Amino acid sequence: MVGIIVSLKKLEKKLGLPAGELSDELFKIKCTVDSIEGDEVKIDVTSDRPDLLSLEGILRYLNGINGKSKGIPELKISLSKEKLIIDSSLKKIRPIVVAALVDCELNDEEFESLIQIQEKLTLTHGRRRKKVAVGVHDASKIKFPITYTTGKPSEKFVPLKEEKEMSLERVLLDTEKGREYAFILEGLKEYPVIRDADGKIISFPPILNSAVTTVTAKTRKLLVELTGTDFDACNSALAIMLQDFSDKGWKIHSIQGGGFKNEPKKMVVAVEKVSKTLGVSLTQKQLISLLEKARLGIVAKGTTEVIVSIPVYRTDFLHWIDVAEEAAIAFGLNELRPVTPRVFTVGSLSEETLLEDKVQDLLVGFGFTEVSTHVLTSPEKNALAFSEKQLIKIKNPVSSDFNALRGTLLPSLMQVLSRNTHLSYPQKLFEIGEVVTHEAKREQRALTKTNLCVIDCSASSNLSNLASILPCLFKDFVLRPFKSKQFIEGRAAEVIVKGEVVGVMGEASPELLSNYGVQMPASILEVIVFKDRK
Amino acid sequence: MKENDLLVLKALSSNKVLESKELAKATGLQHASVGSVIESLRGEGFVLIEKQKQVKLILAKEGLAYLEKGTPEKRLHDALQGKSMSLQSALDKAGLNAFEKGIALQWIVRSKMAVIEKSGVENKLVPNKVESEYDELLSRLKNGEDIGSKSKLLVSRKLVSEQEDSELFVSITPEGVKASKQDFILVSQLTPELLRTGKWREKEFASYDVNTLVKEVDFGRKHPYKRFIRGIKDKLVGLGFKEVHGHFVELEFWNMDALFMAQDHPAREIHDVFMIDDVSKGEVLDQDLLKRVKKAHEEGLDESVGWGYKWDPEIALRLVLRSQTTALSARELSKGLKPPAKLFSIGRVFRPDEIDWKHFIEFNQCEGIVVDENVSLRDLLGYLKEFASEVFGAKQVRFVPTYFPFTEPSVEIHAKIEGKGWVEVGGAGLFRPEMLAALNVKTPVLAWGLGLDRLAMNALGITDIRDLFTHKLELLRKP
Repeated sequence: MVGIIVSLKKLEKKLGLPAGELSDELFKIKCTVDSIEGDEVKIDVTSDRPDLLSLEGILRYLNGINGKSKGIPELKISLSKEKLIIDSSLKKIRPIVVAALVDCELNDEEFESLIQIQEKLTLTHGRRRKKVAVGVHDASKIKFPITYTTGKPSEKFVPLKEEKEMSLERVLLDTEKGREYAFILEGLKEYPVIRDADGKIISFPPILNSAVTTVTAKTRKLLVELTGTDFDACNSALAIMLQDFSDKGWKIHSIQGGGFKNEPKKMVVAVEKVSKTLGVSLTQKQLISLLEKARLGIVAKGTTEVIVSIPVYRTDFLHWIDVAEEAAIAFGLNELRPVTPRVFTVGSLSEETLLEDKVQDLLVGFGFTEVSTHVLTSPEKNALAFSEKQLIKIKNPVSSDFNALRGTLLPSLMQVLSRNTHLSYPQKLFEIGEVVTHEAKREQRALTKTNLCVIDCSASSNLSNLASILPCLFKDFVLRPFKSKQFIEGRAAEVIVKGEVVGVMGEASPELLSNYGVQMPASILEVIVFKDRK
Repeated sequence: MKENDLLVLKALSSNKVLESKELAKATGLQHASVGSVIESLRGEGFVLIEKQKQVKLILAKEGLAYLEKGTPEKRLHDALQGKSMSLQSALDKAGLNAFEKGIALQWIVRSKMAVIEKSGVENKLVPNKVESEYDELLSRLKNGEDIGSKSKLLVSRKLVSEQEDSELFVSITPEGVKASKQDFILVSQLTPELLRTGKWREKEFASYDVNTLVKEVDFGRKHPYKRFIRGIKDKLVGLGFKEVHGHFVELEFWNMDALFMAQDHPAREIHDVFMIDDVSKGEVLDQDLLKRVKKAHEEGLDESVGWGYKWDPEIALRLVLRSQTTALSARELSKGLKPPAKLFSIGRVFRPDEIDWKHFIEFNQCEGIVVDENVSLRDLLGYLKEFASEVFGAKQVRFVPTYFPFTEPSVEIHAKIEGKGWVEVGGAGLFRPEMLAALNVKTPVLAWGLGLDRLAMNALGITDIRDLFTHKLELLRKP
């Protein structure tokens, strides 16, 4: 989701709707109203619709869906004399550049929305400027023809918002944008630049422009240049901006060598396939009408197919299924009558759940209270319980309290005891929950198992009493004395079933109890319940 | 008659009037038990109780010390031996510590036992023939004398404290005397021995006071959130869904690539998925599947143009914590599910997020798929409406178009929940053809995913999401 801010007044005026109805209206086109504060409406747009990252984009599509406009929007481009020359040195560095000229009328508001579309487009669609970066310049300050070429890191120019000249490499180190986006130019010996006819740097893509071409509210002509690694991405991003400008009434001019291709993609779609996908029998005519609402160009092909023209600013068409979705949106999801479920299959619970049910009933029958805790933990929490299991760790945790996966349940239950020392005893707890351990042989290098951990924390707790649960859990088992810091020496055992150790039990050692501030003896049992998850 | 009651009556019948503490000593019972026994006997008319309040004087720590050593002022006075001497020498001779010196001086003057005279450089202490009143009082008190109102002096100097004591004087009534002659004792518990020997015939059983019969005991119970989830499982099984489970640690291949999520998609970044800190990479067992997924991304499969980038198998082998249970659906589909098939899974998924009352980084998701020749978007809406009503009791639903990388068309379900208005309960869609083609699935597949935590919070009356996995026993012990 990408968030944009548009003017409430403008939106209400253009849609002819009060603020209260905006949310429902925008839902129709996958947009969510996040908040309204004063004149600012914050709207979340899904990441497949970069063409909706502006008021113009939203209105263009919404008016189509509402039947006020139809078909592919017009984008008139006149030719200009200006030229863009592309140097071959960029082929291996940042090969793509597309550009156009725009006659604009900027005021403070338009200026803000210009900055917003630039920012939001490059953020997600442009993959943080790596795939697509946008530079907007005051064209009146530029001597054409311009050249997209390379420059040495030591070459100097006056960057945007700076007062002195800086070398290209200095810009990467000393400016905010430089530091943020230097990663894109890592390892390069020469950097991409756009020069004017005199060879002066007017742009250092994807970092920043020169101060000379700074756009102000007085600017009347814009040069919009996009550079990147993917032609379709750059071309469609430029198309998004140009369509927005054109919708505002601004005139667009192409640049010779500018590379912008305004040809809609064409896709042949079978009417029946769309009908089957939606579950509605559509005629060819009905489908055409729906797709026109979605601002697509459409022509009948024979009687069973249509040829869909997709505007260049739409980036989300890979397969005819994307056309089917447009038809569904134009139809209105809440207009489609849901079909009562009719696929007959017999349901069943998993073996794991059935087993868990039995173990749960057993423990409840013994008078234990069930607890459910987090799977995420930390090595510190683990160490507090003297657990020696090597935990699976997370590379990018959000908190040091939750930076690993638990391998046993005991630390979690001990924490519960620790938190409840002010409540009455006995405290008899159990948890049936998942733990994850390293398992090199498995394809995920890890195994998710379900364990049972039981703690009887009371003055009269002893191991013999707790052990009476075992015959109810396992048909045949053997106990073997076990030593661990967790348990009082000589008062712990391993539980073995079919020659394999399935768990441990013992009376908690005073050290373990004191680590958690628990002043009541406890007997502990932890066993594997299910380890055969496929 | 109860054993204790009889004991008390017998003790009184020989002594006639006893104070409650003496009664406890005579019967060997605890003083507290005596209290309840005599109340019950009084109720039956067997005894009379007279309550007398007494104020007892108890020696405080200082009082005890002064009793032993003498008050500081007496010691100072004694040191003078009737003669004047310099203040300093007198204090030293008395053997007082710094604290006591101050007290001694203050009180020796106040009690008029001596006078301080200024003499040149030094001060002199001149004794009077007055004895220490406080020492006398303490000594008399110790001997058990009644010092009357003079006790106020000792109290105000904190040498003694007052304690109010009630004394209960118990006397037996004629009826009590008669009752005391019983040899009959009530049994408090039927034992195996009484049954075996038949002696139960000679006994009478003590009655319970029904008002004090019930003791609060903690009993075994299931976790409320787990119960909630278990209930949902039953409902889904009732709708014909088969339960499956997945693993927490998954390959990016299954969590993203096989779902046709491009490798540079924003949802694959470090702030959207937890990555495992491990050098080892996972393994894709089906290399043909890997090839098909690669093709789907690079050139497209079915009638798709694909994403058009170079797909990196190394990225696909990276290990992550599953961010949705859809990876499981992909795995199940790859095994070759024969339609018609309906599967569901409820399990934990993990996503980086803030941690507050509304968000946590691990939560439960309920996911399912419907695999059948003839399913369409309208069928999907039908299932979703059914879930909302059956599983969550929502009478009204609405659908909003949305975007997921692996479904098209995609839908968001909103349910009208009482007291909360429209709440987003989940997302759904038809799996993309590219994904299905790579998995060799020949029919459409409906998929849906619902977040259970917010719904559980609503159903269980919990306002903080962290309480779903609470450590607070008082919450888990609630009925």
